[in-house]
Order: sequence, then C-alpha cells, then structure tokens
Amino acid sequence: MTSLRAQNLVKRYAISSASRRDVLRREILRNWFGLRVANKQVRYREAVRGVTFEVAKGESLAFIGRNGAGKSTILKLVMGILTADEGRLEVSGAVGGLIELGAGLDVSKSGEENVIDRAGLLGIDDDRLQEFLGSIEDFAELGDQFYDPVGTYSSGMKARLGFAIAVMLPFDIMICDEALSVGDARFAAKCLAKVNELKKDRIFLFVSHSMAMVQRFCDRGIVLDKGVAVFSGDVTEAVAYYEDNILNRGDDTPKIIDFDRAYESEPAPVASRSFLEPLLFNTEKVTEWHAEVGVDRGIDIAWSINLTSVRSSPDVQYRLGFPVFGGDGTMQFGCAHENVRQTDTEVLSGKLVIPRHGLHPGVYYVVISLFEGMEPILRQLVKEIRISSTGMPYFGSYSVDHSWILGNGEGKQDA
Amino acid sequence: MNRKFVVFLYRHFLHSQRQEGGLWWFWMVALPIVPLAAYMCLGFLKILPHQEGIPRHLYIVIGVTGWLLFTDAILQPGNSIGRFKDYFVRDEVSISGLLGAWLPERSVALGLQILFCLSLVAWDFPLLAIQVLSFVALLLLGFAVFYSFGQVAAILGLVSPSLANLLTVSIRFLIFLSGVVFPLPAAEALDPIRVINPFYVFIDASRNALIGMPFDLVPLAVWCGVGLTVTLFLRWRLGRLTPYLRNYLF
Repeated sequence: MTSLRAQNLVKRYAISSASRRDVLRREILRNWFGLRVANKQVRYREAVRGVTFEVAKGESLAFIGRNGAGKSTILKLVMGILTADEGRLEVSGAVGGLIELGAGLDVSKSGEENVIDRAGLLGIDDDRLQEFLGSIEDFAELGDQFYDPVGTYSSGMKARLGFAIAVMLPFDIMICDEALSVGDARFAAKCLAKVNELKKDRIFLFVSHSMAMVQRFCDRGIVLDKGVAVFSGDVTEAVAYYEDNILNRGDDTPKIIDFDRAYESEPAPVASRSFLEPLLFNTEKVTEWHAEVGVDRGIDIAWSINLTSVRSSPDVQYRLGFPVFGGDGTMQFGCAHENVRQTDTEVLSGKLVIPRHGLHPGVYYVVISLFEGMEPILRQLVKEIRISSTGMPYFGSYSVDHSWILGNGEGKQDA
Repeated sequence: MNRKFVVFLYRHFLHSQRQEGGLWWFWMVALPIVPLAAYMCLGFLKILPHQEGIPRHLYIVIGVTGWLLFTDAILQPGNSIGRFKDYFVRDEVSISGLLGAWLPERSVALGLQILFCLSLVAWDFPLLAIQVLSFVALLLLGFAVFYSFGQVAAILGLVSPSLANLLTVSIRFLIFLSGVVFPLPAAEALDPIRVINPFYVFIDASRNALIGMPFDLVPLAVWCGVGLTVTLFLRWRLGRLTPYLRNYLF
C-alpha cells in the first residue's frame, strides 16, 4: 500500500568537504571497529529540523519555502538519496521523479535507450517495456530525435524526456522539484493535465517557487522556514501564510506563528531603504507635514503640509506626488498632482484616493514628494504598507480591474 | 549485486563499445589482449632468463594475466565509486553494488585475457582439464581475496586520499616482487616475500597449477583465510556505512 509518513525528521549537513570526510571517517571507525572518536571540528548546518507529515495515496503535498528552507532535502530523504539523522521516515511504494530536470539521463544514449535503462533498473519486463516506450515517446513529442543521443537535445527536449519518463514509469510516489518551471506553456499544460490524471493513484510531492503552480498541483502544503515546518494545511492557506509571513520578511530568523493570528499581526516598523533616497525635508520651505495612509482594496492618503510662507513667488507651482515602491526598490506606480496650491495659503492639504491598487501580496513603501517649481523640498517615507495574501494565485506584477463576460453575457462577473 | 543492475551494466558496456564505431567488436576483443601480447614480446626477445619447465613467454603471460586480474580487484572498487555513484542514489543499488559496478564491464576483458592465456599455453603444452580447472579456481580465489582488500581500500581511500595514492604507487613496484615477468631471485633474504606478498602467492600457485608443477599450499591457505575473514567482515559491516557514504557522496 502506498503511503508516506515522516516523524520529526532531522537532517544535518556537514558544512565543508573536509567536515564530510571527518564524519565518514568517524562513522567508519565506529561501525567497523567500534571506536568512538569525538571530532569537534565538524560543523553542521541543520537543513531539516523536526519535520512531521503524512501523505496517503491520492494526496498531493507541496513543500513551500525560500531557498535553503529544506524543501529539496526532504524530497531527497524521501527518494532515499539522503538518510535522516534523526526521526522516522516510512516510505511504502516505489519513489521516482525529477529532482533536477534531465538528471540521470545518459547523454551518450538515445532517448529510447535511456528509457530502456530506467525500465530495466525498475525491473519492467519486455512486454510492458514496449508499452512504456510508446507512451513515453508520444508524451515527450520528440519525433525522430527520440532515437538520437540525448547529448544532441536542447534543454527543453531533455526536460520533456525527463518528465515523460517520470510520469509514465510506474512510480507510486512521484516527486517534482521545480520540474515544471521550464519548457513551453503548451507542454507545461500537458504535464499539468497528466499529473492531475495520475494524482489519484499516486502520492505526489511538489516543490516550486511558483505559488500558482503549487496551487494548481497540490491539495495540501507545508511551509518550511529554515528547515522548520511552520505551517501545514490546505494549500491555499499555506500559500497565504508563506506570502504573508515568510516571503516578504526581511530578517532571517525563523518564526513559528499561529496561522490565524498571522493576519492580525501588525506590519513591521518602517525601515529605511536605500532606494528611497534622497529623503529630504527643506525646513526653509516646509515647517511640518503629515500624511495618513489607509489601505484596503484601495489606498487613501490624507495629507497636509505647512509651508513657511504664504507665497514665495506667485507663479510657482507646487507639485505633489505619492510614489509607491516595492520591496525590491522598483516604483510600482505614482500619483502626482501638478499644482496642489490653488489659493494663497500656508497649509496645503487634501486627500488622494486610489479606489483599487491592484498590488500583489508584499511589502510596499509610500513616499511623499513635494516640489516647489523644479526644486524638491520634501521627500519622506510616509508608510510601509503590507498587502496580505488571499491565498489565490497571482499572475504578473499587478491585478487590474476586469470583468468576465461568459456565454451570452448573462454571466458577467467583476473580478 | 542486484541482478537488474548487473544486466543494466552489461547493456551499458555494450552500448559504450558500439559507440566506438564499425570495428567495435574487434577492439573489444583486441584491447584486453594487447598488454598480454606486449609482455609476451619480452619472452620472445629472450631478455629474461630461461625458466625450468616453462617457455619464457608463457611464464610472463600467465603471470601478467593473474597480475591484471588481481590489481583490478584491488584498484577498481575505488574507481567504481567515482564512476558509478550516480546509480547509488537508487535504493536498489547497494554499497556493495556500487563497489562492484565495474565488474560486468571488466569481466569481459578479464575473461578474454584468461582465455587468451589458456589458449596460448594449450598451444605449447599438453593441458589436462584438472590443470585448467585448478588454474581458473586459483585465479578466482585470488580475485576474491584481492577484491575483499580492494573494497576496504576503496572505503578507506575516501577518508584518506593518501592511502589510495600509496596503494597505486605500491602496486607499481610490487609487480617486480610478485613473480609476474620474472621469478624472485633465489636469495634467502627474499624468502619472506614468497609468503607475505599475496600477489606472489596467488600468481606463483596459479602458474604452477596450470603447468602441473607443485606449489606451496600453506601461504595460499593463510591468504585465503585472511580474504575470507575480510569478506565476512564486509558482509557484516559494509552495509552499515550506506547512509554515511550517501551523505558523503551527495
């Protein structure tokens, strides 16, 4: 019966090759000669720390996390490439799949010969082999090149052959590590359809940085942070948790946060970011400023700026803008008004209303920027805002207002 | 070793041979025989002293056949780790499978060398079946003993690269102390080598068995005992290193 159960898995890596050799030397002495040698020079990094999960046939589980979170290590443990240092891992069923696309393909052999090799190692008899050969050849869509050496294939063709072998050969537990992130869209869609078809008969473990892919392929998700499983549950909630609590977090400290409370947590304190520079406040022109930002589906900014004098020059225009920057320093958009002083007054005030911002989950920075003529007199960070995930897949940089008109138009829906 | 893996390795070997071009089958047979033929020339050139009861070229060919078999048994398990480690990621390939993955490929060459040696000797000598069987049996016995040493050396060579290099260097010199191309001088000082050098013990015994001459059974039995002990030890303890070796290699 196909099943997979992991309990308190711990996996440590010796940091350097010298350390790995020391570990092996120590284990040879211990296992072969019964000698126990303490070696304090060995330095370890814990890639997986106490991870527990259970998957049954027909279930698909995604491991979500930043680079170095321990996702691939868990897959390698399941595949038997690595052995857990602590904990218990019970794997029932043949494990196969793609840790790296094209991995394990012998470039000197043709696609056909590679399939025969794999099938031979799995103990598939000749009758079944012919069946598999046909289905793999069809699925990979390599044409006559199926009979050419793999070394002559493009990376996309290797990907297709690797994926075709992984899905067509009779594995009980199928592993996919970023395997669907390459290749053309049509082939990716075909893979998706095939995996969905196979899911009910297999256990499917998936790792990807694409949250859209994760949600398409999997029912459940485990969020890993520095080797620790910080969330486990429905894949939509897992993605939301990841995007809210890990993806946009600046610090490197793993935190185990209760999922329900994560949405209620306050945004992190405003931090200075170099891309916001130069921040300036010309006290000869501006005495004080104030801005309040409200964020929901849209953004409202109520602002007031006190100038030092009513008028410096009658013709000078005061241009006010509120650019919004993403966490990577890219300006997402900006709203500017060419002249916010319509009358002679020391106080400029008003409200900017953005009905729907369309920003995807993440951390953003709202900046106030005021020019007197061509001279910048105020540029300050107003607020760091945090857009929470709804768990739904996001595509591209923004969500734009749109509606769908289905069929005869009666099914019009705003998105 | 897993049967499916052995079949795969043979198939892999044949594939790589076919990649050599139209005359692949010729080179597959010829190349393993070349070293034997080259050493045989030394015998025909009469550079080396005549041996009582056996032509010079046969003395050398029998010795080199054993030497190539035994040195492969010592050195190839270490090379096998580097060459075949990608297959070690699979559960069905055990640590002993990894250390012995070179065997299917080399068995063809070593088998051809033994056949060449036997045909050459049969050409000049009337061979009895018992002599041939004894010769092959002693070669296989020697192979098993050296292979057990080779497996230990392969594992220890991972944690101590100097050991692997030392072994390679030692073997280069040992050929002259193993009765491969010429017999050990009759000097008394070299007598211990006839016992403590297992290469000499097995090469001398197999050669004498083939040409129907007596050989010393005691050192042979001692080395077989050592080999059996190491083999049993490996059978008992080698598998325990599997997770650590995987962690080291990947």
